[in-house]
Amino acid sequence: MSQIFSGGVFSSDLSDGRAGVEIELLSSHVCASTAEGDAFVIPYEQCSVEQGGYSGKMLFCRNPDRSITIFSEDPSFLAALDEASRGLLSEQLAAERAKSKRQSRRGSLFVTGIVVGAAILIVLLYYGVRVGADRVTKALPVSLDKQIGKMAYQAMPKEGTEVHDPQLVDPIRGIVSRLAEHAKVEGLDFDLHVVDSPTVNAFCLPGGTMVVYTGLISASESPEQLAAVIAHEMSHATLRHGVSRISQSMGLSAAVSLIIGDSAGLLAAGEEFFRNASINSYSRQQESDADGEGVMMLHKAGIDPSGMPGLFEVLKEEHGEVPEALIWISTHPDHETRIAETKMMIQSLPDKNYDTIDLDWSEIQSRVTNSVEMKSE
Amino acid sequence: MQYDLIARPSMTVAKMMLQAGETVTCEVGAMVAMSSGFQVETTSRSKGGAGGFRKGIKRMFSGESYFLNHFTATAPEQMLMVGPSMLGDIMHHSLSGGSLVVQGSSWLASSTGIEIDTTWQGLGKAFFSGESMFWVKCSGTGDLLINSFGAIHEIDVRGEHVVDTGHIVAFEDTLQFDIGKAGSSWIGSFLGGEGLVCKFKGQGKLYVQSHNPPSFGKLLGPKLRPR
Repeated sequence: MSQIFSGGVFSSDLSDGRAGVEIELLSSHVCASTAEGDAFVIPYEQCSVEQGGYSGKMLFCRNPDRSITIFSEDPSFLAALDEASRGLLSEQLAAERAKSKRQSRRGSLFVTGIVVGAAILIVLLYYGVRVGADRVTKALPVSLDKQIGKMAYQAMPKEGTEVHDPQLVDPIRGIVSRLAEHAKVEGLDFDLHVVDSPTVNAFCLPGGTMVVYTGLISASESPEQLAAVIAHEMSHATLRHGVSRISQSMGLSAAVSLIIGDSAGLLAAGEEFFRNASINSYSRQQESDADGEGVMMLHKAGIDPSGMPGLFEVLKEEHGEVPEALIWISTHPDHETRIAETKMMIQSLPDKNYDTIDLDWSEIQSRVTNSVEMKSE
Repeated sequence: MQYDLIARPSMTVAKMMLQAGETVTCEVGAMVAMSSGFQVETTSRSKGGAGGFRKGIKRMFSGESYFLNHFTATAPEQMLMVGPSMLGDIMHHSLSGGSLVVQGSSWLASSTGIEIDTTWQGLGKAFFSGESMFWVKCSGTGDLLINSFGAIHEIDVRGEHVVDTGHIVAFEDTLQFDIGKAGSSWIGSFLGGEGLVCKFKGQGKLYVQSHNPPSFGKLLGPKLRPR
């Protein structure tokens, strides 16, 4: 018994040129009948077969003068036609099957290509923009750093009141200006603020605005140790770590706008970045770089750089557990590594006679205590 | 469906006359005016059909609405006027089995025997055809009204035919559709401003529109003042 398939027919005999039909595969021919009772017949030996249509799975049978085309999308139509025609159409049908397979293989290859290509493009674009933004930020004038630093300093919450005692502030300012002469970048203003707070910390914003907490002054055993921390923090500014961090933290669109020459996004991101107490969130690499540059600055300024590992030793011994107040040390690489690294850097330096910083350190430290006491009174 | 297309080809609206009990399914928001003897029903499925939620979501992907409006005449000789949101033409296509593949947002109205479904173009075509990711697939037996941007031109394809991306309105499912380059070389194709084109192969009807919305938008967009 022959099977019936639903499909369609094209013929100029039809008023619309096309009609929906029921297709029957008879012993010698394929027969399509419309609902109106019109019948269209193509003998198998005259049939030329082609696969196509929107889905690519529609099978078309045409007569030699192409005046009748019978087609069906039924998935079993091809196999049934092959069987009913008893091998007459086998060659054509096999060729169509192979063509369809080739097409679907090409299609999946194309899709895979697009997906892989898009993924590679996204990754390249992402890193390209990141690296590009970093390069561009480094090429920007330092006046931008200053602007960011000033805006951030005004916006950020202060941990205590600023100390104005000249006998405490002036000696530290002296250390800062001695180091500033050897800054890697010209045009930075190292503007020092001593803030009354037990926090053992200091930081330097982009452009040179610096804060030293009295807690750090008390913790340092010698002016050289304090100078080491100051040199480290100043190095973050001279190496322009702040703007690098901001450009990396910016969204991709802001980075693109920076590359095409619009730095407004960078300024806004900078203020936001530093206001949210991210002063110490430099990368490990940046911290190591700042240690290295700090040692160099100390060396060039004629200050004994061994104050740096010295301070790490003090902090390690006195505050082995790293309490909350020791932000400076806790957010930095672990002190064992840093002691070893800085010691190695110092050894590789050429011999030099360092001048001791001529200050009455215990007097200065007592000033800190006084200022704290004065406040508590 | 008894219909009359008025103000062709740039501001076409379709004026349909429905007999009592006759239903027409229209795109949401297409109704311009109507007689008082209509019962209006809004669902996410075809009149009397199945699908509902899933088909509604699929339709949204093709650029059509989640809901469909069914207008059923409750009295004889009821007039319903429908029009597209874009300026352009409307054409009538009658289906007797098979399907018509319509670009997203071009389907306007159809009689009850037509099932409105969505079909995925395929990734390559979706990227480059200049159309929505999905097509609207209308199948069954009955009448269809399709709208375009600009005038509609009907092409009876026998063999091969090329249409620029963004100009396809609809085509019969017997046509195979591929994306290819306009000229013989890639560089020439792009320098010529044609870039990629849609190539149709096989036998069947193809409807193209004289203008394409993305090009119009690109021309107009920069001239608009920001609000």
